[in-house]
Amino acid sequence: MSTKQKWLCLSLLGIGILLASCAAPASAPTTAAPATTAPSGAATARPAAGITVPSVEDGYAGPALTTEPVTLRILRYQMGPPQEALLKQWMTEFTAAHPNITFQDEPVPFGDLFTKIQASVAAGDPPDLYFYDGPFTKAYAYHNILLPVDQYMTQAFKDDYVPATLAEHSYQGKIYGMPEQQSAVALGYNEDMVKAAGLNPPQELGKGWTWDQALDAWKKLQQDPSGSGNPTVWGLAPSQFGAGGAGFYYRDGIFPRSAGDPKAAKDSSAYKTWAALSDDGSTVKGYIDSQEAIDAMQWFQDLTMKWAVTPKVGIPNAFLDRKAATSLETDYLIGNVKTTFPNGDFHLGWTPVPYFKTPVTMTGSITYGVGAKTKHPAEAAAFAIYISDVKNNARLWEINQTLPAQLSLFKSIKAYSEYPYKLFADELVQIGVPRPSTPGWQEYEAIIDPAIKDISLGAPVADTLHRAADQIDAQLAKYK
Amino acid sequence: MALSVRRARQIRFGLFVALFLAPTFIGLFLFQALPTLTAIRNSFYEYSLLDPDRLTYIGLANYTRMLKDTIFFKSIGNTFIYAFFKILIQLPLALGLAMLVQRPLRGIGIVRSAIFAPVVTAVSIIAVVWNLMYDPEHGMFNSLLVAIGIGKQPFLTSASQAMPAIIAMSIWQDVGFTMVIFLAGLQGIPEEFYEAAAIDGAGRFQRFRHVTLPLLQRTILFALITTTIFSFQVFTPIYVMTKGGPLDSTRLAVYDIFEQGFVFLEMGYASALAVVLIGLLLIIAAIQSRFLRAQFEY
Amino acid sequence: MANSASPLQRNPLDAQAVLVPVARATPRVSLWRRVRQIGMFILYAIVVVLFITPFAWMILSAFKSTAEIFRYAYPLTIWTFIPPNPTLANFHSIFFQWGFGQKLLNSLIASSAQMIGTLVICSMAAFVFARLHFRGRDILFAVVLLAALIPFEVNMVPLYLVVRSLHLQNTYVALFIPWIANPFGIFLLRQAFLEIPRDFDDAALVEGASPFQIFWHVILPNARPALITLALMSFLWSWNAFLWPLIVMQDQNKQVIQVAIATFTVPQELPAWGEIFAAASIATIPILILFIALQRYYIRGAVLSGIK
Repeated sequence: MSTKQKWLCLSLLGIGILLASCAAPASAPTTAAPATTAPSGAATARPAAGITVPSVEDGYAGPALTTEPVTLRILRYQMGPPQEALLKQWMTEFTAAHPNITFQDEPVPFGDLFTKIQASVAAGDPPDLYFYDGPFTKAYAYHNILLPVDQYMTQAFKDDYVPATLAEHSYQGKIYGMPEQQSAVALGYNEDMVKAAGLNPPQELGKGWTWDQALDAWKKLQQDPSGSGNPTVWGLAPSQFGAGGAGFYYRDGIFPRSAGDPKAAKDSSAYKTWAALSDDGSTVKGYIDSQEAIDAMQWFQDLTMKWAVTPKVGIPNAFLDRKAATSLETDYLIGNVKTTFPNGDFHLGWTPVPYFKTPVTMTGSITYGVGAKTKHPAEAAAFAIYISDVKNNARLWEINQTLPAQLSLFKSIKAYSEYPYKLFADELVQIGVPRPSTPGWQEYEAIIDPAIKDISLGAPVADTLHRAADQIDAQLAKYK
Repeated sequence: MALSVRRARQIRFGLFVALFLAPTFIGLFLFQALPTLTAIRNSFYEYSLLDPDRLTYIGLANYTRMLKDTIFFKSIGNTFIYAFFKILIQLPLALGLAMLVQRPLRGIGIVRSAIFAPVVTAVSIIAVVWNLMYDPEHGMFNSLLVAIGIGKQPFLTSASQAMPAIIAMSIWQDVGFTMVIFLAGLQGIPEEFYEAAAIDGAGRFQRFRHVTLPLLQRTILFALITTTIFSFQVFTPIYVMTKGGPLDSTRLAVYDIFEQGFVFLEMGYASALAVVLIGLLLIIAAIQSRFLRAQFEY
Repeated sequence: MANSASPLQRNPLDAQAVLVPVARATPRVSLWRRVRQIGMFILYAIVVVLFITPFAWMILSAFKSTAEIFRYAYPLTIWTFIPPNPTLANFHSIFFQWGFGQKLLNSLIASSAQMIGTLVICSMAAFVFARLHFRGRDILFAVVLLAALIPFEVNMVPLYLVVRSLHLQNTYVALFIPWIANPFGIFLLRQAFLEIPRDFDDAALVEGASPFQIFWHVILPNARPALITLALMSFLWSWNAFLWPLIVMQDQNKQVIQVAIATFTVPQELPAWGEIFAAASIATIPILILFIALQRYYIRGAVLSGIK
């Protein structure tokens, strides 16, 4: 074939694909979204029937907004198409109420958001609004990147914050992050496999399994017909967080922290294990490498190395592909299952997150904030408050069904009065703790995650934890 | 009169040189020199990206701190190991493949494109694919190894095997690139030389040694130096696949620098580490070209 | 998908027909020769399989739904590769829901511009370093090479500051302008120009050619393989760029494909593997087209030689 012919063939192939995909029906997955979303993201100002749109003034108690033309720049992570459409809708509604205010939208892959934020700040052109990961609130507040926004909120708005959210999004008494969503971890399981193994997991918080009981269940659920050490079904799925596999503190840190005791004396090892960071945020020595933590992480290591109920590396989609019987996941999984199995072929059950001594789950999620260097603080705050309004978060819930961060939504959304959503709501309120609360959170996570991964692959537990504690302390020193 | 003609010609010559070099030097100054000088300056300061205004002069403190940084030394050592084996295997392999695919056989274009395919594949895909292939329980490699009687290997989950595994993947991905360089060099060798050698009775291997290799010297030198430089600068595969683990066995220099600057928010310190790395690379590149140019001068 | 043209699927008897070299064969093909031919064929086949398997897996997986990609990833069966229910939904999704077409166009623009810019600027500089003599020439060349040593991640943020001060952030220009003065390119072309015999220059000088005419009529035509290589390399570097476009572009409509592929991993949702594979597959098409189109410059005998 001559070069020209090759060109021709390839171009025809390309055109063919494009044409064919036009003709094919759109089977792209969308979660239960209201009729507002059009595939191309074009938003109309009219929301679907039954959804009430808040007035743009609800919750806002700051000065009157300017009538000068203003462009608000938003630096955020890229969301899925339904949520993108909803955001565009919100921007359209806000502009309809304030025609002089328009938006410049800058979405970035979520994994690279922090790098981009740093580059923008370092270059001296920070945006007016940030969408960012809640645990970073203190770091951003410390570095003067976020603006305290309590002065712009009504008291009712402030009172509606879930306490865990308020704690995570505040720094030195001021509020920096909006209430968008929350999260909690529970143990999801494949109902068919669990029934077949004759197990009956508890479904109420307070009656949950201990880790040892969970281990018994995993051993029973594991299937290795050929006995080759290559199970066809694992007891516990590998972590789906981050890059997959062990080494994500949000999930794996539950193991050591649940070996602690918040009711013990403040200077006791049991309390420190639960806290995972000193109250003044200056040290983790004795907190993440206490004896309880070491024992807990030894047990964690045995999961992969000794009892082999969970694989050593991440396997994408393991739980949904029925390659694992259970998985430690957040409530996002409920929506994901509905999307992946619209016919309901996958029966998902939930049991409270297991524990050693104290049930605990970590909380915190993505949120919005106003940039400290913005030239339009009132306008930016007004928009942030608008999109965090209870009624707008209700519209968001319709799309992604994740834990709200506002107390009133737990009452108004009926799903939260019954299983399985109720389990998550209870966990959030009763046993939820934020990730360690320090401006040095990024450094903390960057050091503890590889340590956890190394431990899961067989590294000596005590040494690894001691070394990590020393390294974290060295990094936290700059925030004293 | 003759003098002014010469002068005019000199001026024209000078203008020509200036014109032809200007875009390069303007570009290099603005986009390489300035940023690097900034980075060097930063190495004497305490500087956090999130707080660019809080710039504090600390003199040589970053450098003295580096002297005690065992993790950085480990990353430099890992980088040397990585570069050494990558070059050792990738260059001869690329040359062999280039010779294999330069013959005008029917269908050879497929082979050439196949070797080049990894070069154009996105790193995120390669990471996913190789993670699956290296899976310690179910991966393709382990299935093969079990089938031929060798036991399962831990690959990326073991501190001793992770680096070779990454090197293998890296060679697989980049060899097509080096092969293309050699292809360009190879077909610059006129056919007459091979025919003359054949007439003189030279066998295949002798033709390779006495015709191909000498005439490829410049290309080999180029490939060697560029592969060395690229090896020392490697970042993305580590960032995407292992993040330096397990147990820092795959922690390479640029990853360490990136982590110091972007994760630990110590841009000043990261800049000092970068200065040291660049210095090392300079020495190595200088040694390579000095040593090899002496061999190759003809 | 049946036309995957893997050598393993062709009739083995065709092997001999495929691999008969151009040179005239002796009337009786000896047994040893036949064995060698089959051996070579097997070697080629192994090479192809080794290199193309992950690539093929990526392309074929783009036609599977997200759920199917990893369900069949192991154990190794025919379904690991062949989609059980082929679908174009992923391609439809990336073009109509994620706006991938625009990103593809952006990358094409940026990479083409970088390719052309690199060729122009580097060939000019390489000509000076290879052919013209003046004091300090070698020092200047060493300075150019120095720039090659600096890893991008080190320069990333200060470079962004420079680009901002030039008010070039968020423009297409910013995607390629820092990279067209490329030390590797200058190094490569200088090597190639040095290979061209001086006789060619001298012949032109005798005719009264100016330096520019030598550049245009003698050097460039004779360095075609190197120029082609540089064109391909610079296009590829631009095409694969991720961190730089991430930082310098703000408007998502101007973003490039590698960043776009990363956006398919959205927080709170399962990674959209189907879309990721579809996008990555489409992303390889333009470069492969370029590579195949430039193939003939790597076939022996294609180079122009001789005095013009």
